[in-house]
Amino acid sequence: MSVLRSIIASIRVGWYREFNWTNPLLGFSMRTVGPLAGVITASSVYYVGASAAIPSRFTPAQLAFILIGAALYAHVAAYSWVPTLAIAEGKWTYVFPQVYISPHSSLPYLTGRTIASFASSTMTVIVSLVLSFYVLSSIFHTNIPFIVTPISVSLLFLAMLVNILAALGLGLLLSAYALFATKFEWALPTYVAGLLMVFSEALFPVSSLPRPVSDIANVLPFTEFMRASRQAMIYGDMYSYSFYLGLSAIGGVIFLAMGFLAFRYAENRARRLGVIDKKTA
Amino acid sequence: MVYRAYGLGSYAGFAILGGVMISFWGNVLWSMASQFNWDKQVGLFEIYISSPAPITALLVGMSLGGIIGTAPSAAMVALLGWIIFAPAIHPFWPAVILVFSLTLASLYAMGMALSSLYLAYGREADSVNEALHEPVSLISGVYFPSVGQGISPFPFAVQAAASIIPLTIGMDALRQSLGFPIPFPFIPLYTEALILALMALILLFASSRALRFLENKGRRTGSIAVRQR
Repeated sequence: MSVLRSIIASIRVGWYREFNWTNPLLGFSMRTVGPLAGVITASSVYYVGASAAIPSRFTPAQLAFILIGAALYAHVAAYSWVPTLAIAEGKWTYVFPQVYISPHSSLPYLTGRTIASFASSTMTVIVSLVLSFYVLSSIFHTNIPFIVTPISVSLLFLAMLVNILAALGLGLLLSAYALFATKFEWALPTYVAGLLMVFSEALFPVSSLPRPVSDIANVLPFTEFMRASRQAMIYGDMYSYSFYLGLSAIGGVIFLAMGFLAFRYAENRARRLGVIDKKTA
Repeated sequence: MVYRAYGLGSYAGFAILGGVMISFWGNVLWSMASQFNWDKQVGLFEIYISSPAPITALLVGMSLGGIIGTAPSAAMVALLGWIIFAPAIHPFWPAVILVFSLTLASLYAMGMALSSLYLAYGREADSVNEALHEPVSLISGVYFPSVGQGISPFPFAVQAAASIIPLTIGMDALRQSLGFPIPFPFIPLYTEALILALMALILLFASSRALRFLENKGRRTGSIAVRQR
């Protein structure tokens, strides 16, 4: 019960951290601008290239593929690094050592911060998805073939919820490193985010990557999450959706277990070495 | 990869050039514009203002350091992109060097101007940076030509607004000097070089005035080194 209370308190801390620096509407708007621009950028890259080809290779179905992938990639990128950044930032602001000295609170704290960021990025990404749908339909003069029904949207939310497992696992894996790092932990999420964009089928099918890289990318839970979400919003095949969602859940549990074990090991080692509050090399 | 995955490999050069320039844009935003804000947090800014060196000179030094520090990663992106994607380019190297230098000068001058703005900010700086990074990359045409008739997906009003950002003009000038396949140039190459030089001078002057104003105001009110969290 105390773990649940700690997680709820950490969710509140996370929301205050993300939105309390200004009024909530301005904070929400500023957090939406980035994903919206990212989605339009990815879609424009495809549109410019495909339209310039002779004959034109532009198809609304591929645009929908990229739009969903870019929006969900922005969603994952927005919250899966939160545990790492909560540690890096917490060391500088003396928040993390305070959290750490209260009993059994580091994991609930990181989990709560991740859930808070998941909730806020879900809202911003849904808004940016809707806005980019209308903006791109208007600029590119096309009909983007989305299936927008209560069921398809619910299935998309379900896929997003299932993906928390993998995202939190990845966050904990990076956090295990962030406990010891003094500088690189700020840049590490950016590099991993870049790799995730390539390997998660966010913008193009992983089959276009060379083997064995494509084989590895093919089994990542993030890839399965993207596929399940596209089945829900574009293709509408329930059997494929369930299959990909199942794989995403299994991969997520494995990622979470790996992240949990790595973080526990790193935390015990960091405690022995006395580096929990270490800020400089 | 997006260009290539959809059979549009001949456009991969746009993305490689974008990858090179996005490194510098990120450096301008995260290391130049918000640097003084972070320095305030860790107490370094007090040392800067107590030294006899003018703040503008410090920022020029930081710009040069930023360019040198970012150059290896940008060069790595260019090299790997060239090896993997082999984009078809026909560069006129003197023009490439001139335009690249002017683009960096105007971009870092913009970073200096933003740093004066961020000096007045507290923890808003991070959120402002996050909000600026992607939209500026989008309308500047980092990964695809955002200006120019027949190739930009944007209406003319958006293209005109984008043109006041040095990165937009710089990207277009670089694409022209590297010989990318652009049907109609937005503005002739050497006119763009002149605009970039003017932008650099104007932004440098503006940043110097803004920094002096904020420094004087901060000294009068005693708030120049106040850490805002």
